[in-house]
Amino acid sequence: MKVGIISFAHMHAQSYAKHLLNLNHPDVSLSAIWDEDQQRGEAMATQYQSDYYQDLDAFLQTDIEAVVICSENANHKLHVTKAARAKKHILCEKPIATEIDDAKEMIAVCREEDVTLQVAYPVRFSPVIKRVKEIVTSGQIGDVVAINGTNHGQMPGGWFVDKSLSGGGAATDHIVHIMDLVRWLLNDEVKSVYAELDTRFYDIEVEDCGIVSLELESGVIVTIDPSWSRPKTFPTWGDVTVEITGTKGNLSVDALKQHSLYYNDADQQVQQLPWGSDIDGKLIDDFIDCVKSGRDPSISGEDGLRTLEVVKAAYRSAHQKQSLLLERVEI
Amino acid sequence: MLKVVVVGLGKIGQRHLDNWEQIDGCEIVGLVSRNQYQLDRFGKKYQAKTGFELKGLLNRIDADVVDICLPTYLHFTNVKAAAEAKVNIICEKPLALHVKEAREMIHICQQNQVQLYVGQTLRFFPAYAEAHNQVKNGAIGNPGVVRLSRGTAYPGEKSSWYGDASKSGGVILDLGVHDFDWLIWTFGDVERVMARHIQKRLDSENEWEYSLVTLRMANGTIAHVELSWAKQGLETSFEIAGDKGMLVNSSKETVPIQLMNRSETSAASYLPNNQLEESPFLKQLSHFKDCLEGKTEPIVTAKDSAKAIEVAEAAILSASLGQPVNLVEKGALR
Repeated sequence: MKVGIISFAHMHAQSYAKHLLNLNHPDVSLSAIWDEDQQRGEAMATQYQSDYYQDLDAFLQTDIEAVVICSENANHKLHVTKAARAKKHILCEKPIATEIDDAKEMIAVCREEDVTLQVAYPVRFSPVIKRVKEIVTSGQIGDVVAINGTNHGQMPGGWFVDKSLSGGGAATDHIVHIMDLVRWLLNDEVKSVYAELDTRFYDIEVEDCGIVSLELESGVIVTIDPSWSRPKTFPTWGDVTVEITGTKGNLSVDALKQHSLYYNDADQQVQQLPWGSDIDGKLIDDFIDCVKSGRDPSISGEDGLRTLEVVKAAYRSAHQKQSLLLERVEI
Repeated sequence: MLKVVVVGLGKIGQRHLDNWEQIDGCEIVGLVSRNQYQLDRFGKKYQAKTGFELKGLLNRIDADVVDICLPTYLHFTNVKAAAEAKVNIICEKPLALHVKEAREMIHICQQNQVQLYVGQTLRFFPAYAEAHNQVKNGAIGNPGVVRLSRGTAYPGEKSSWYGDASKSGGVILDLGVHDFDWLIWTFGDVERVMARHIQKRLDSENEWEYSLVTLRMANGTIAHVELSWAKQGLETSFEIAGDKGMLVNSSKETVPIQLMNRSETSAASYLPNNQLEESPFLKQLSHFKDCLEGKTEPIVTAKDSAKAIEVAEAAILSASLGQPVNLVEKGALR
């Protein structure tokens, strides 16, 4: 099975490339790379022993079965629709798109062309989070009534802070992981959205911090902190934490807790060295299995759309300083 | 000798008695409780006069300060009684159920020329006092997002006054006034508050109450406060992120001694808390004594306390409306 990568703009592309080449699936090859940035594309093709294509159409005419799309958020729509028209199965980096209409169109085109559209929410594959889902489902903590979540990060810079390419800052980048987790854990949807968003840490044109406050259809209350508030000295890129309160008990979850702390004199840094399993690898394994077996994707385009709707509502709420009822679009 | 009357002999009243006992230059002269057994027990221990109600007791004895350790809904009448008897007052937090009531209490004390101090004990907790100072000294630069969390087991006995919001204000007021006061102390006034709140459903066995409060301070800082009456023991944490650094602290991570006894069935028992030296309650009561003796100015005033109640009230209102409540617009701060 031949797979291609569309753009290394998002740093996760490196991780996905590495996992496409690993020993779990000897029958998979990373045979083609397209990148708008020729220099980067050629460097990646050399690194991953692949062929670089300067022309996207030529790339899509090759016999690759599937593509992993890691272009800038605003380019997801173009790349997903083009890949779908060329009958390629798709794993798209999150967020699915920067606009709801774009996401809708992407889903529609993939459906029309009968290709898989999976959104990259690797947190679902974290062994920690899988165990959390088992515990929640087993009823050990009763009914979940509240979730206090964080997906903090360091400020990524580059195109992430260029609104025309990213669609937005920390809110666009970091609400979706926890939002997807909440929807997946509880099989629930968002009823109302309130958000405080601001740019308080860096001199950039997009928001770098905020808090999102939600009520779900079931009445469960949720807050998500998507801030790029981790200092440069923070020992890792960020965090994924959820405090879950249930009618019978609580779960305190830190998805990145399994690490050794490394006091690194050479680099004058304290660093977390994770030793838990690599969730990007599991995401790639799942996607390959999905393409091979023809089954429905574990994480659908609709999952991408529903989380994007919350992000967009958060921006509107922060602007209007009101809590807004979420209106879900039909697909 | 500072002559002290303690009103209320529940858990907090007894804790205050323990602390007063450790402070030089004070004497327990009176005790008020509805519980005859406790009155006899502690009256004998401290050789203090006892009574079922404060007003009558104050007619019989000479006191310098009344320390009110009663449920929140009883604060008003007792503060009023003490003030009218011209006795200074230390009152447990929250000062009142509503900011209007708190302001009236402050006014009554001013008219009667007595001091009113409120036990915003969090200001005397070393980690929180230190964090306040670090922020003020610029350690984190410009504050961006502040995350605070406070949780305890469901307070009191089953169906105690805590569970009745008209008596306790619920978790948002009862726990929230600690963190709201600390936020205002450290970052200034609150501009806007949005709260989500959820409590025991009719069909659930256990009692619990929980709230997630989002605040926007007038200086632009965004704050998030988790308030839980659904934990097993006291759990607190803060994370203060600014453009030059971040301060992080949690009660779970600052327990220096963990005691394990193999003969016990429970997995592990912890020493009660992470306060090894002078308890924050002792510091607080000593401080109020110094203030009453004119040695120093109060770290926290009744007006500060009223502001924290105002924020809690706005949060409660917000949770019921499902919309943010704007404090500045209401003109309530003035």
